[in-house]
Amino acid sequence: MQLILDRVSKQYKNKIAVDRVSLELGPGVYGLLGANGAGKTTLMRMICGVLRPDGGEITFDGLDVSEEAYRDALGYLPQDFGYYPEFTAMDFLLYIAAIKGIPKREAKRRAWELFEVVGLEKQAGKKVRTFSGGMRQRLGIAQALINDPGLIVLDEPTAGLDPKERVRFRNMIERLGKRRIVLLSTHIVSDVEHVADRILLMKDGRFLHKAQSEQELLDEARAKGAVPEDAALEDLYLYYFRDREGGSEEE
Amino acid sequence: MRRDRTLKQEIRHAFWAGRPGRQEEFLRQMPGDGFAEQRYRRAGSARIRFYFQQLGYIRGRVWGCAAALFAAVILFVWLLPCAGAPFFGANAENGMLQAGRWEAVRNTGDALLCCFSALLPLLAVLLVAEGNRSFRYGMKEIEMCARHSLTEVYLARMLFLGCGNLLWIGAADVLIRWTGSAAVDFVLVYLLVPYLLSLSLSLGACRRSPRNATGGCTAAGCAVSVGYLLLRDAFDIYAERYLAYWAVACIGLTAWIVRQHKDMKKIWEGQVCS
Repeated sequence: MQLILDRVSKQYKNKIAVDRVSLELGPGVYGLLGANGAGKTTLMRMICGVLRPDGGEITFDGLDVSEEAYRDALGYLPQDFGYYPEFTAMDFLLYIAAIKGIPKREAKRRAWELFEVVGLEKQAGKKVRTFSGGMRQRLGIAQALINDPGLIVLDEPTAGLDPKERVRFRNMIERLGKRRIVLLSTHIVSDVEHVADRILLMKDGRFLHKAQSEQELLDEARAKGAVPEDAALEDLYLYYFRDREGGSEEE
Repeated sequence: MRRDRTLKQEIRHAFWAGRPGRQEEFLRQMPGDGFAEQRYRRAGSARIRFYFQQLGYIRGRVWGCAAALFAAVILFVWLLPCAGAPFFGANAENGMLQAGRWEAVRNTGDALLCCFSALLPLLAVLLVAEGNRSFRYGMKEIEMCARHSLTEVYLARMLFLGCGNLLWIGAADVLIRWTGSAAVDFVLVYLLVPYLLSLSLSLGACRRSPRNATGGCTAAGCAVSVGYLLLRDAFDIYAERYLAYWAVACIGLTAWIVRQHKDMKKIWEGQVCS
């Protein structure tokens, strides 16, 4: 199981959002970390086929991103997603299962399993429009997993989740990452810290560091004297993204 | 023992299976663990099943509104002879002179053509608005990366809604011919032009701003409806000398709609940002 990005680029008018990014990922959890506007969401959208790259190639197990079989192996949670207003949570999951080509009986079974996993089993019959932000996010996570995907792309998955749910989510991601490729984009450093096997730091459409463990990143920064000895990933984040966040060199 | 071994070797040699071809591809599709197993099982699932599932996701109110529009025309024309209806010309009044209401209704073909033509743009708005739901409700990203992509979801919706609309127009055509309109020979063209015009304007609104297109679509439908009634009032639009214009409009609008769909497909497939 391998996701390959080969010199993938995307440009919006005169801004290069993703600049010739190349990457090879095997099973595991990858945390994509970067400030707002670093190109995380654009990259994720290209990996999911929502945006077509201006250049380069994206393949999963030899399947091109534009192929139906690629989409069949994909689970995607967008940063913002909507729902049809008349849908209950169960209708929503069954609809997603239908467009993912899952037979109805199997879809129902999977839906109940996932409701249990994300803690929405009591709300299955309720309209999605009555859900809180966190419940909606959990439903979003469930829809991404309904086809038991091999490649899971989660854009800001923990936004709106309370601490208990975040822990539950992290455990779930950790389990999923054992046999699948899970790509997780966030600017919440602690999520990546706890879950990701490897961290990809992104800035201005390029990777500053790719596929390194948290410890390796920290060691490198310590060696440069950029962060103190007892620094955590959060300090490293501030070090790399200080310009964009409006901070000064002294910070 | 030795003889057995020799025999085995000879058999193996005689029935050599050849080198494995496309082994990797075969192994990749083998049911084994997790998603691969699922994918293997679902590979045989019929596309037809997906299309029919989509039929169930078209809201009942869309069919209800289409039926209500049709019923409104019938009811209006049924009541027309009683009211005298000078607006609809001599046929309706002539009808009143006949023995009964049924006979009167049978002479209201022009009124029917007018009513159906005025309401068809709204039918087109219903079709486009339902097709555009993915964008309106923010479902497009999820649908774009599903096995049956947004293009297929849209096509499935359009297939059923389009068939419904064709039935609607066909029934209107039959009814108008039966009631004996003066413009009976080219009823279908006269019905299609306001429908296609509204359809193309609504699609244009969707292309410009997919998420907020409902207002634009409704405005386009109403404008075509009112414009048609004003034109009909001002000119003898069904006169034979205008027939060529109707035909050109029909063909031109069809071509425009095809072109718009090609542009929209680029949005559905991620080539252009919406």
